[in-house]
Amino acid sequence: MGRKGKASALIISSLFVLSLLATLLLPYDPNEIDLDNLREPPSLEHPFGTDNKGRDILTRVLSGGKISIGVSVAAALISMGIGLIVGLLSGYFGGKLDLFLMALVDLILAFPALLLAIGFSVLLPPGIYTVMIALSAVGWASFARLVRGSVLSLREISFIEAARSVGCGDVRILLVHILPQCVPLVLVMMGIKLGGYVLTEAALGFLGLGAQPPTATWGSMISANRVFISSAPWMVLPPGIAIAVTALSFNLLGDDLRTHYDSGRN
Amino acid sequence: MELKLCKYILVSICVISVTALFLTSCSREEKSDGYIYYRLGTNPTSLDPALIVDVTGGSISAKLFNGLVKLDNDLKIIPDIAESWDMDDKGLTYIFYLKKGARFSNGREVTAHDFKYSFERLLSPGKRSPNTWVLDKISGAKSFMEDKCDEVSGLEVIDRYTLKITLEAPFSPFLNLLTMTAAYVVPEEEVEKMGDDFSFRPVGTGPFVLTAWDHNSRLTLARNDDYFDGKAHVKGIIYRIIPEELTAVAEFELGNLDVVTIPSYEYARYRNSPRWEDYISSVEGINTYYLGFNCSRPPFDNIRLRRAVASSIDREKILNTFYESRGRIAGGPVPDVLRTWKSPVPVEYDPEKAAKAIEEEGMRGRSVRFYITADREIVDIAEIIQSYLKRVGLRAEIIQLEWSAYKEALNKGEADMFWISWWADYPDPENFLFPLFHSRNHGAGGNRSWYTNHEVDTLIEAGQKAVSVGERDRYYMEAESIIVQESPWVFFWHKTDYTLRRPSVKNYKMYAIYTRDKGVEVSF
Amino acid sequence: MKNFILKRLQLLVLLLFGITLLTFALTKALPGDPVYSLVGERSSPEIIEKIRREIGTDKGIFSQYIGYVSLVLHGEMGRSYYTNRKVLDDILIKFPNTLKLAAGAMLIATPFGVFLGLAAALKRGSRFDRIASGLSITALSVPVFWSGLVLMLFFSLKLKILPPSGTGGVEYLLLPAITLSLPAAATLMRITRVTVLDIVKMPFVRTARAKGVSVFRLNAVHIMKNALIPVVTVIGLDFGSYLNGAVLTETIFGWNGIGRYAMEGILKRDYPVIMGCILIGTVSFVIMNLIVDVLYFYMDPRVTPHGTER
Repeated sequence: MGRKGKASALIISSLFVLSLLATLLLPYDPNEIDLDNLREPPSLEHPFGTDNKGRDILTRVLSGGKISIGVSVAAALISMGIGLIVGLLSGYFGGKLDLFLMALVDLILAFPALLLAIGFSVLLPPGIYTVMIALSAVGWASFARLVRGSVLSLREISFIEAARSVGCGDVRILLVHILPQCVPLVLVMMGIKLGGYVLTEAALGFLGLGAQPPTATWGSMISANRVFISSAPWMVLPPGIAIAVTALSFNLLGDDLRTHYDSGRN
Repeated sequence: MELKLCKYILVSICVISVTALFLTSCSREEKSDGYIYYRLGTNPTSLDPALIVDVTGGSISAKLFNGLVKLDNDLKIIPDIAESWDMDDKGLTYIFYLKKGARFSNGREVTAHDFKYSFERLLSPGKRSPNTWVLDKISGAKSFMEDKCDEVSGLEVIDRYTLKITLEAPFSPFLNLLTMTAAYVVPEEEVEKMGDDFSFRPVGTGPFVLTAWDHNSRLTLARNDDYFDGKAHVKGIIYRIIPEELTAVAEFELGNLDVVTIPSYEYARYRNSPRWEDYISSVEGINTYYLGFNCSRPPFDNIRLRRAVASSIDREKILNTFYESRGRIAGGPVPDVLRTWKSPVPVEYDPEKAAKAIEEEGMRGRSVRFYITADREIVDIAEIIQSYLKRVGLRAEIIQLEWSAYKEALNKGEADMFWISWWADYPDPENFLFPLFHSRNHGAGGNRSWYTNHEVDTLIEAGQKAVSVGERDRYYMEAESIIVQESPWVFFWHKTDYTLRRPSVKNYKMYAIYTRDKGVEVSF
Repeated sequence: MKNFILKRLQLLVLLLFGITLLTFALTKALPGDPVYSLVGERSSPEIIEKIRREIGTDKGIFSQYIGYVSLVLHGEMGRSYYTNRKVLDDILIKFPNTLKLAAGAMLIATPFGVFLGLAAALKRGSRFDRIASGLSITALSVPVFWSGLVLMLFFSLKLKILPPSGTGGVEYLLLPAITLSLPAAATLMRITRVTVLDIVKMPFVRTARAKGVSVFRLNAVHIMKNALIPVVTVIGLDFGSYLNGAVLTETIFGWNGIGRYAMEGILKRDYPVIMGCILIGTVSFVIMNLIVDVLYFYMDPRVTPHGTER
């Protein structure tokens, strides 16, 4: 990994660790209402100020990171898993199964992603698991497409032919010979896509479809406080910056992974 | 080949840019002179009086239509199209004498027959009107609704200008019901011509006519110069549909709106601004904001627990801090402006007592499902309530739903607790008692807390039948004090609304009931 | 060529069937009954049942779907449960607005993205390249609902030179179009840069350079001509996805387009509206792709219509 990639990974992981420790490091409960300290501008006591219910913004931004990062990574992992399975089956067995699965993939890719995610989020009871499902339901298709492509190119390669000729079963070939070949590729893909997951998670939160109150997520904080953008900008700017920094770090990490992957293959 | 390619690209770029320029260069629309600009938060669903269920649609239709009677500034009933009326001693029959010369905007004069037509249209089985309850007290309405007869027997056209209405049973707020949008008169010939389109191409008698409805963007109302009741001062009204409060306020400051409702978060700024403080109007709204319990099943079928929750929340503090005193503490379901009797004994804020009661009822650490709609301010309030309940050991799990899903859940009684408000359709205490607490109205009828108390039922019914106001108030007072004692709700507040107007707007006034505002007084 | 287009249109019909069926199944599974938006605060179970019959939500899913398809085949999309307006009429009002926004965004994004990408590639490794690449990846990382708010704060609330919301002429269009163009310009910049870098390595560029072709001609004609395909693809894809509605941008700026219409339809369970938006969205997305494919054919004679199946 390059310098850029390492720095990005460091930023993300420290943000995540800080978000897990937020309640230990800071004297406030992210959800504790304080009606005597509404809309306080940033001060020593509240470095990022308080919101319109007197909650500490810094504490909420940090504890929101837990969900925003956690949900995005989990959703990307789920997408990757589904994508791997579908891609392997589709590419390896081909035929009708392939046709059907790829038609499904095309269908999902043709659908506007955010609308589809919105659809899934209203379909299921609201909450962070729903967001994960919605993100994965939309995201798996591009992984499946990628994996299928690489399976197609691997299937005819001589060592697999050889494995088949010595009597290895399909399952064994898929798991032992083909899967490991695909893993670096999907990991790179995941690095590239993660930034997008962070943004979509935030968008769903912004539209009120994510974690339920009082839980803080970055998207929902912006959505809930956006009316204060001119009178109390400290409520809106920090979560926006947090999203941007996280997505940026993921994007840089993805870029870096891809560069290394490409140069490794050349 | 290369030349051809370049040419092709060049041509296509030209085509794209010209199209885009054409699309984007629609000229800037100047504010029309003499028109007053208001803001709507949502697109009205329908302007057909038979179908309107939202305040947005109601407030616009008030400017397009008229009924037999209307409300004045003191919420007293005064003539509208009916010049005068008689009621018999038992409160069963009403005879309305119509004004001559009230015309629909197509030029035809309104007659008693039009009212009969309009009322029967609302009640007719073929019209899917959600507002039949407004008129179903008229004798014969029920069987007409069930398609058992061709006309409503209680609606009699005596002559061109005289209409007799007979009720099934005495109903004290009946005249109040007739001020509602559902009882407006519509012209048969236009309704029949337009069919379903009447919803957005309404024709009425009002001081304004709808000239354009740019869906989700703006509605234009032009003055009706032939209005029978003194024509409006402004040339017309333009409603701009702006969902975001934030942008509505910015549009106001840019001069693109003449009047804007002050959102809670801007209230302090305008109140303290020397430039604007003189241009703030307010009205004590006839409404009640409340936290409802589902009284039909555990845990909140338990009065002690309901009272414990009520005493664990410092409503006054929330009102004075978060809500910036933009309301009056509710003493019970009936709004202060309608209550002519003494306010019931309230449940006091006492968190220790509440915590003890919750402990003793075995609810400590237990969680309850708290349903709300996904509105920003409501989420805020729900989080505050949640935080108060946490302090006394009760966990409220907030479930945010979109309006229709929310209502479905409430009507089915899925919520343990819910936040909602009730706004008057007509200014009578009955409107805050019968739909909300009578056991016949469980769920969709309005009694979303599934409250059942037969003594309260009897008292409300007696109040509805009472002919004198004094007698009516005695029943209502007793019903209200029982209700407050049993706390099917935590009564929060009656909201006061504020608007801000541009200095050029004269004679602007806010009204507690939207049907009161016909838009004729305001001027520049 | 004609056959190719026809084949694609046939595919479109199949896709439409698939997507409408999927959407139909999904919307029917949504919690929340549209009838509750219609009945107001006081109603009875009888009225609810009556209205449900009236709008047809009491029938089985399958017969509702058949009903819908036959409606569409008659050139209709039904009426919104909520407003009673014809969905087709509304779409005909909103779609041009969305088109306007998408065109505005692409009009801003394309020159910026392509120029920056080209310049960054030609000056690979320079400070300019690093700054431009950094800016583009940042633009891709900022959520549009936040950058939109910040733009609004600055231009509408502080400077008061542009209206913060509404649908209308250029002054209304500017802020949402800029907001939407940021990620688009960033993507374009990245794609252009990568493509041009690939092309510069190719032998023909070296040949041209050796032949003494002027720098401008080299950049503008030889390199850009070859970079056109991926750039056009990205423009087409972005444009296509904006036609499906930029939900967030339209929501923030109160732009009366398809995205907001679809979003409201979903929230209110207004099934005819949801279906209408999905139909129009799919059609425009597929047609946009078709246009891109046809453009390939003209831009690069090596591509035959049959070879473009991706």
